[in-house]
Amino acid sequence: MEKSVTFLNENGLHARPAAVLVKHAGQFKADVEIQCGERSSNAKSLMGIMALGINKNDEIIIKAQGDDAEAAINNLVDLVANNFNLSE
Amino acid sequence: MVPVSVLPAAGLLVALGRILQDMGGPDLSPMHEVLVVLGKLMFGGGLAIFENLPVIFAIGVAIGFTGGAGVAGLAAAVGYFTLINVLKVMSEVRSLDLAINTGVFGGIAIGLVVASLYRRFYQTKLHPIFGFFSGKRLVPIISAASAVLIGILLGLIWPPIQEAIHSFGSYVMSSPLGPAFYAAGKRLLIPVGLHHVYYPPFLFEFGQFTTEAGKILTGESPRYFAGDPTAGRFMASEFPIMLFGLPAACVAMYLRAPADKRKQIGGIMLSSALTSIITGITEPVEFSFIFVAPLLYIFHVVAAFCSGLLTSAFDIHLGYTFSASLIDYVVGFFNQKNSIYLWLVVGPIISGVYFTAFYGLIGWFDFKTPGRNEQVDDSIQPQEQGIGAFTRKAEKILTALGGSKNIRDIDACITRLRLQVYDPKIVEKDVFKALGASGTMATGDSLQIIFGTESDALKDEIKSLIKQVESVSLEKRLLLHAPINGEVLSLKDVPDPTFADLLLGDGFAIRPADGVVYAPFNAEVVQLFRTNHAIGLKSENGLEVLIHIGIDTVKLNGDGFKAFVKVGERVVSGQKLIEFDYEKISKQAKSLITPVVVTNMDLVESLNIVRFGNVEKGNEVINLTLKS
Repeated sequence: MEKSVTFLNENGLHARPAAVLVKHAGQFKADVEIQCGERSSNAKSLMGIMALGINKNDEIIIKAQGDDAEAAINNLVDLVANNFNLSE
Repeated sequence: MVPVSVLPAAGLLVALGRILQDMGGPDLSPMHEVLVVLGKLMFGGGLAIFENLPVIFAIGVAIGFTGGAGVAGLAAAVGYFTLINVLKVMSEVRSLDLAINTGVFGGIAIGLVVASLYRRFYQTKLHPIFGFFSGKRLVPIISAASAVLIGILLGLIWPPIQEAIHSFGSYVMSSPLGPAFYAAGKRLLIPVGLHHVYYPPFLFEFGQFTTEAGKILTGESPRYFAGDPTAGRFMASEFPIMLFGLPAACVAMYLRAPADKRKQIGGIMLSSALTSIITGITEPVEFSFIFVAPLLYIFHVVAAFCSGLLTSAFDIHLGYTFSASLIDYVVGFFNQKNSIYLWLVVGPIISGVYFTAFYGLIGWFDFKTPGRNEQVDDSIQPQEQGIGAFTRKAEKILTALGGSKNIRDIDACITRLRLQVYDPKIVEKDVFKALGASGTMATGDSLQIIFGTESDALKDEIKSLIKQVESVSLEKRLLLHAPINGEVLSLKDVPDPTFADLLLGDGFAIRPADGVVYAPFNAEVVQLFRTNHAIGLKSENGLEVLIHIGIDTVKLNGDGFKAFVKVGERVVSGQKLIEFDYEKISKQAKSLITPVVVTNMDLVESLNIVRFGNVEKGNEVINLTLKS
């Protein structure tokens, strides 16, 4: 299953939000993937998601497969929608 | 100890050659003539080794001190021949009467200098134009240049030293006390391993002899084997100790061992005594009492002095190429003089003195020689036998040394392992004794462990174990070099919890001294942030590293950063990746401290920061091992 969400962080997906995202994705057993445009990456790989070059207002798709796929997607979509709980 | 190991070959050739030549009488049958010619060939061939000892020492020392590097040997030969010609010119220029001759000292000096040059330069990279001469090929060139300088220096300072050695040499050569001092000095220096510095002048420098063919030879050993009738006084002084004294001491120690330990101690003592008699290697005996009974050691030195007095008094002449053993006695017998007194008078006296002193003093002072100390007894375990036992022993030694990581350098000289370790504190010395070592000496980070004659084989075994470990883990190991000139800090010092709490992964941070970022290892650029303030690299074996220039620098939106590589590009360690405006960014960013972080720590088995503080680009900072 998958869900789409708009990326809000002012500076795009840089080191700090990427770290938070990977940490959250890592809590779930499911395989989680993030897609941005043509490219996608394992959400648990920091270098992978940073390499997607996600910018502000980019539309990203979060996909997951496995036992807790739904929980994972909801958690990560919330995280992105709330700008990673970061105040920047 | 490579150079010394060629001498027995020379001795044997020369001695056999002598014997064959002497077989010819006045009425030569064709058979005899053939033998005489054969003898001449062997004699001449063997003598060549003695004649060229300085260059053999230069090459041998250079190879020995570089862990067997062939290029170092070549460089030493180049250096030595350069030195010789420079010295010739120097004595012409200074119009000296005597020809400057540095002998084996010059050879050893060149060997040592070349070895250190090799270690310093063998990885040096030159500008690509001179690429052919980079690295190992550079060593002989630098060696030749250095030899010119050494030659000039020695040309200035050596002549008075040469005079002094010459006059000291002639003094001890003629003095009746000479042999006594020679024997006692060697015994005195054995525990610290410095006897290798003491004996070369006696064996290879003092005295001069011209053969019938006009060859000039110096030193007791070459002269003796070339047939010099005056040579052999010094070497003779040691035969009573090896053949009589120490074996008698072994008997005394055996008899002083408690009855229930006799069988075990008897085996050890028998093999030690036979080693001394047959090969002239004395450390197994000496190290069984030197440390537990210093008084016996003092006696040993004094007794060696007396041995020298006695052999000198009876004018006994004997020679050896390696040590005063039965083998050398037989090989060198052709030029002996009065050696009958060794067997009839001096030997029996010395063995009586040793036996009485050892038996008496051990009982009197209750010295804990082998078998007499409960604790030591527990640790003497029956030696493992069978296939693979030797390898297992080497493994245990390596483990006790702290593993291959802890070993900087390993060598062996006849009876002991000589090591340089990185951390002497983690070496478990007790284990060596349990594995059969008769003693261990440590000063700073160097270590000598006396394993007897198997030391050399142990060294080879340990070396091959280290190689195995390294080759297995070669793809699993990675060095991260400093990407920027600056100061290496802990990630904990980064003023940003994302990095300081290791959320991204482990690594180090660097406080830049200037504004250029280089690749810390060979990698592919997998990620370059649009603003060029962070770059992600991936090694061939999968390790991913993020270099994040400054803190909160994403906000600068790329202003002041310039990238020199693209995503997908392969870079080599040390290649320029990014330049940043040092002044501007240090003013505008929260901090310039640059984290260098491994982002896929799940692949990492171990990660060690080997260097903190100031570094230059390319210095090793992290040594890490990947999981297998």
